[in-house]
Amino acid sequence: MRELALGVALACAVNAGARALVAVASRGVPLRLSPETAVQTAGLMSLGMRRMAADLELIRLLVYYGSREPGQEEIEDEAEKGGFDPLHPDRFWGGGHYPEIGPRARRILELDPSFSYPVLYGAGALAFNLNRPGEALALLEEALKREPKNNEYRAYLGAIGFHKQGDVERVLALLAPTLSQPDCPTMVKSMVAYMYKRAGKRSEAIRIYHDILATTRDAGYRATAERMLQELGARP
Amino acid sequence: MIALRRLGIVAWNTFQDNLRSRYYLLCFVFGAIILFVSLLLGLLAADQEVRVLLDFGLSLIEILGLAAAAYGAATTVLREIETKTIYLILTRPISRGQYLLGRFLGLMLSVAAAMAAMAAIHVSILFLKGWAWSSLYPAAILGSLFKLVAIAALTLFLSLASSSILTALVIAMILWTLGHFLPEIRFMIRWTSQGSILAPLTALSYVIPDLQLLNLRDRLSGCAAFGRALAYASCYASVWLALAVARLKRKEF
Repeated sequence: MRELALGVALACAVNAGARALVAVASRGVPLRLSPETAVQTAGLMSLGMRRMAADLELIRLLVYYGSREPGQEEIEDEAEKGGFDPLHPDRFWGGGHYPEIGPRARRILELDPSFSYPVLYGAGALAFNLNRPGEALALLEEALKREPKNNEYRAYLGAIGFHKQGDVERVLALLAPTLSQPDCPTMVKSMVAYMYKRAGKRSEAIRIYHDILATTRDAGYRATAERMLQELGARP
Repeated sequence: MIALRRLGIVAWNTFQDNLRSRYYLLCFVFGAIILFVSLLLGLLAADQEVRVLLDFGLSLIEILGLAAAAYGAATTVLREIETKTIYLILTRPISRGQYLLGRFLGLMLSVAAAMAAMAAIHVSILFLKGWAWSSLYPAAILGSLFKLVAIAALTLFLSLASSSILTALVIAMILWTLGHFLPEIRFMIRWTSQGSILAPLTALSYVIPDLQLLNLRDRLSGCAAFGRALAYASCYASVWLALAVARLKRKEF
C-alpha cells in the first residue's frame, strides 16, 4: 500500500513536470462524430489511433461519393454529347447531390488537421463536380483556419472564385501548380486535364492524362485518361 | 560493474527465452495480415493507399507490441513465483533489484526485436507500394516503444502489488485507454462548471501516463517531440520500476 501511494505521488510529480515543460496543445475545437462511426472513431482514439480513424473516415467518404445516389441517372454519354459548360459542371460530371461530402470532410479534418487530401477532394467535388462553390469555400476556409500556411488550400480558394466567374484560364493557372503535389486528388487532375483539352491546350492535357495513368490505380480514371488520350491523338 | 553484468545476464536469458516462445509467430501473422490488407486498401483508399497502409501497419505493430509487453510484464515475475523457479535464481549471488530489472530489460529487448521485425516487413511492403523513406518512420516506431516501456513498467508494478495477472492486465489496459484520452480529459476538466463531479478524474489525470505525449505515430511530424517523449517515458517508467523493486524486496515467498 505504501508503495502504491508513493508511486501515485511520484507519477503525479513526473506528469506535473512534463506538463510544466511541455505546452500540450489542447483540443479547443469539439470533435463531431457521425452516428454511424462514433463507436469506431472513439475506439480508435482510445487506442491513440486518430490518424487511423481519419483514414477509415476517408475510405467511407470515397465510397460514399463513389456510389450512385438513389435516382441518379447515368448521364456520362449525354454529357459527352452536350460538352462541358464551366458554369454548370455538375451536368457534365454526373450530377447527384451528396449532401454529406462537406460534413464528412470536416470530420476527417477534426480527427487529423494535417490531412489535406479530404479537404481538397471534398472542395474539388463540391465546387467543380456538384456546382456548390459556397460549400466548397466554407470547407476550405475552415481548413485554412487550422493550417493558414497551406498553399494548396489558397490555390483552391482562388480557383473556385474564378470558376464562379467562368474564368477557366485563371482557374487553370491556379490549379496547375497543385497537380504535382502528392495529395492532389486524381479527380482534380482529371478535371484540369479536361479543361486544358477544352481550352485547346493539347500538350498540357496529354501530360496530365499520362500522369494520371502513371500514378493512379483507379480503373475509372484510367479508362477516362486512356479514352481522352486517344481522342487527343496521343499514345496511352 | 559486476551488478551490471549480472543484470545483463538475466536480461539476455529473458530475451532468449522469449525468442523461443510462440510470440515470434506474431511477426509472421503480422506479415500475413498486412499483405492481405494492402491488397484490400489498394481498392478502397485510391490515392491515399500508401498513407492508409502506413497508418494501419504502425498501429498494428503497436497493438501487437502492447499485447506482448503487457502480458510479459504481468506474467514474467508472477509465473516464476507461482512455479517457485524464482528460488533457484535468487539463491545465486544476485539481488532482487538486479533480477527484476534484468527481467524487464530482457522483456523490452524482445518486444523491441519483434517490433523491428514487423517494421521490416511493413517497410518492405510500403516500398513495394512506392513509399518514399521518411525519418519520421523510425521516430514513430520508437514513440510506440516508449509507450510500451511506460505501460510495461506500470504493469510490472501492478502485478507485484496485486499478485494477480488478470487484475494487473485489466488496470493496465484501462490506463492505456485513459492515457490516450488525457488531452480530452484535461479539456473536459477545464471547461466543466461542476468541478466536484470530475474531482476523481482530475486526480487521475495526474497519475495516468500521458501517452499522447509519446504518440509520435499519430502526429507524424514530431521529430522535435522525440527528446521530450524519451525523457518522459524514462522518468515515468523509472518511477514504477523503482517501486516494483521495492515491492519485490518486501515480498515474502
